[in-house]
Amino acid sequence: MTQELTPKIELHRVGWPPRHRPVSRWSISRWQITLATLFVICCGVTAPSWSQEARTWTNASGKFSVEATIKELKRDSVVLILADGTERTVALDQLSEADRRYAADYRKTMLAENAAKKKAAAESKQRGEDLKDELQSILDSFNQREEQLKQSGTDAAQIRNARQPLVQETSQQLLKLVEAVPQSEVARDVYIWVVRNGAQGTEAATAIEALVQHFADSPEILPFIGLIARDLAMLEKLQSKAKDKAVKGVATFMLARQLSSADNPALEERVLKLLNEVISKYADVSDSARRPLGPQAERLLFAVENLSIGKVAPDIIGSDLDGVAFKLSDYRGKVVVLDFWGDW
Amino acid sequence: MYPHERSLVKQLSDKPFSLIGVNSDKDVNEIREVSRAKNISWRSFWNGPEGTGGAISRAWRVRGWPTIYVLDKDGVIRFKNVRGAAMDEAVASLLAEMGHEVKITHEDHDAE
Repeated sequence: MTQELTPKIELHRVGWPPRHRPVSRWSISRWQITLATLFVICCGVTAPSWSQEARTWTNASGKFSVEATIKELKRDSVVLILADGTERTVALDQLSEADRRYAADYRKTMLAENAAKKKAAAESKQRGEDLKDELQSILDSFNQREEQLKQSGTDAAQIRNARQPLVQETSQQLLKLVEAVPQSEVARDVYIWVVRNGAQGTEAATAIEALVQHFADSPEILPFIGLIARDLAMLEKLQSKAKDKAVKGVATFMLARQLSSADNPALEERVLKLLNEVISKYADVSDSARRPLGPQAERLLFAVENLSIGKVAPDIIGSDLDGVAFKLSDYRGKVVVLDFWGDW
Repeated sequence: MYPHERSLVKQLSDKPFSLIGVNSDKDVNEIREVSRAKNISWRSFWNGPEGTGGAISRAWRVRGWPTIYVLDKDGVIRFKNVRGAAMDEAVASLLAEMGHEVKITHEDHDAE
């Protein structure tokens, strides 16, 4: 937003009541609320809550006020969300002194919060590095015990069964190790280990959730999208968060496939949008079986558009078992059970 | 499947109803004989010598066999993969839309 030169125009433009509007009973009562709020801000609250609570914003002259939540604070202006959901950008120098102070506090808090976040992330990464030795020793111990199992076991199924508790136990240890540094590379390796080694239950869920939460844009998670996709909510989260082209493409296609499987007409528009996105942006991306997504998405698109409930069935033109030509559409006017069968 | 389908076709022989197959056996001569022997009276498209990889099932993206579609009189897909009693109900509901009230029942040995 650029700054306007005259306050009057600015106020009008951002939708505050123009000066000539008569004061209604409603605005009088609102005005009283404003006074009360201003009192609280000036005298009472030391640490304003930056949650999305509405407060009353007042202009410099004190004549006009509006109830709104702060959405974003820019250098010279503030973006407010009004009670009816609309957005208004107001120049800071149009605001009352109390509002300007509120904005300044808000800015200070946000800067401090961002700095703290950055610092935490850096520390988290740093501490992750420190954990590498410990990680290695847990994995060494696992490998050793797994080797013992293989040598003492008699058949494959028995070894598999005995291995599972070991995987669970190791997963627990590993997840605990990186609990405080979920964004570190070591943590990523842990989550992938847990998922790849077939951990189940809480451990698997924790690892998958952490991968989606912190590593949605890492190509390393590509082979595990199928596992993530078992939980539709996780898949949706991954799809919306992913920035890596391959991850985004595969997640988008899988989401379309999952949503289309229900054959729900209410979801069709969304499925078509996702598939068209795959075709236009991710056609050359390959899935974990190295098949490009483009042709797969086009086939699914055809199915959704032509083979869903409510669509006119595509015609079949062929020959019967005696070699006599006929068409499916010859049977219009009749109820038809179409049965794909074989005696093999 | 055959006895249920045979029974359905027989009961609805005087109604606007057809069972149409898409057969995925690779050898058309053999399946013609089998159809005769097993009294499979309904008409089937032949999916071609590639069997389940044939052109019709590919176009219809068939992944499992059997796959069932139920179409209404306008050729609109109304039900998918209904079997047994669910298939009977689906067909009866579409016939009812056309003003044909039918009650489909099967002899025990037919309905397996």
